[in-house]
Amino acid sequence: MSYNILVVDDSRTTRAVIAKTLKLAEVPVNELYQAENGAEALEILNGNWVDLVLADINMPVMDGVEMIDRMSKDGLMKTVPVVIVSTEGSKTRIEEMRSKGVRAYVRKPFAPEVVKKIVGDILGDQNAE
Amino acid sequence: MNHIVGISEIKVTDQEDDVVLTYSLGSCLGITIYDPVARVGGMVHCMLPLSKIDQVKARKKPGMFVDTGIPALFEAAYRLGATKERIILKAAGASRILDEKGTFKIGDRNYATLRKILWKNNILIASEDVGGAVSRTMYLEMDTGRVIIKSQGNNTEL
Amino acid sequence: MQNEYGEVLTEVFSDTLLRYAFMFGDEFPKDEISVDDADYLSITVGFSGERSGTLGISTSTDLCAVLTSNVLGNDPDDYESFDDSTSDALKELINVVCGQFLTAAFGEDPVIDMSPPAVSEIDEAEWKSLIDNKDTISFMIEDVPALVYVSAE
Repeated sequence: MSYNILVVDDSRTTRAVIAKTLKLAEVPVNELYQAENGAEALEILNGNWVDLVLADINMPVMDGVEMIDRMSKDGLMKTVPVVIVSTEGSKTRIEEMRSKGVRAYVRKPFAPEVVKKIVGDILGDQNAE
Repeated sequence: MNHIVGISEIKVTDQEDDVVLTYSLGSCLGITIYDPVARVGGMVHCMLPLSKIDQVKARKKPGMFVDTGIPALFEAAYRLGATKERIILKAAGASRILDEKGTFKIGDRNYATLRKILWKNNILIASEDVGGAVSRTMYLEMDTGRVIIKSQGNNTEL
Repeated sequence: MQNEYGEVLTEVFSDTLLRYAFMFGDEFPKDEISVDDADYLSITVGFSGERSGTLGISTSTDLCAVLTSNVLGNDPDDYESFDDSTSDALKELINVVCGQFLTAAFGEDPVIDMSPPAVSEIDEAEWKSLIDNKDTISFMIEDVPALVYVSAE
């Protein structure tokens, strides 16, 4: 079983770090999509099957908060699990994200093993469903 | 047989009844590797992060520095039949303890150097017990590959 | 003497540099920082909401290649020229420093938005003026000087 994963971050460095982390974690990736902001991410989600989204919050054009809001209003998109990968540390904001259905939160700078565990747990859950 | 790894030392073995151990991991970093198929394992007790401060010493005692100790540990294990893909790596130590320069930085820097080398070489840490302000003793049991940490009267399996 | 956030920024910057890029940054006396024929840049991140201000770094472009190679885990020789891709790692470093600074300085309760990092080239005169600014904190990062600063209200 392999997965389509979407990485959303305005930093190409971070997108590359996440891509490398997924490879090291031996996540079976079928397609790795990348977007620089929430608007690009929604376009990708509109046209493609995506199993997991890893997204930053602070991005130009459309931030992660608005992206998740819009996803939650779409019948199909709202079923796609989202993990936030952000430097954001506000408890209030993190709670807000969780209440919108975000599955996990990873704070930058992160150890690759943390992402491995979270992604493994979420994709494992999906397999079980 | 017990093999004690002193500061700056490296030990690898393929003997099933061996236990490899190191004491007093404060700001020092203890790293174990174990290949469960080849049944080869080893440990290094690194004191400092970067060998550029004393390359002569690094050549004589590569285990003193994280950036020379880890490659030396891996190479010694390869000579006994271990392979990189099978190796399970665990880490302990790197505490925030006052060092000789009167700072608390060495532990963090030892750990960061480990992270840098592993990231560059596409290796993840399987398990770790690092940081804090405690001293640790680390054991590698060759019959099972288990790594045990003793600290403040407690035993924990990594 | 730095403003009231100097100590927090110093700690957060050193710690983030270590954890994000595996690099050692030590505070360095300003009077020993050279002003020579190097290319300098500044990167700033604005923040707003319950607290507002700006956090930034100024340094030589020499830092960018080694920072990028560390963060991506590949060879510094892969990045011979300074361009958008090599400044991105430094932009992201400051982005992460800012996020960590905000919780270290103001706690986990306030909701504070951050703007995307903005890069600009600066000349020798601007570099010198930043050295002379009492609110900048000077570091040496693997033989490359860097000045870090924050203003907040």
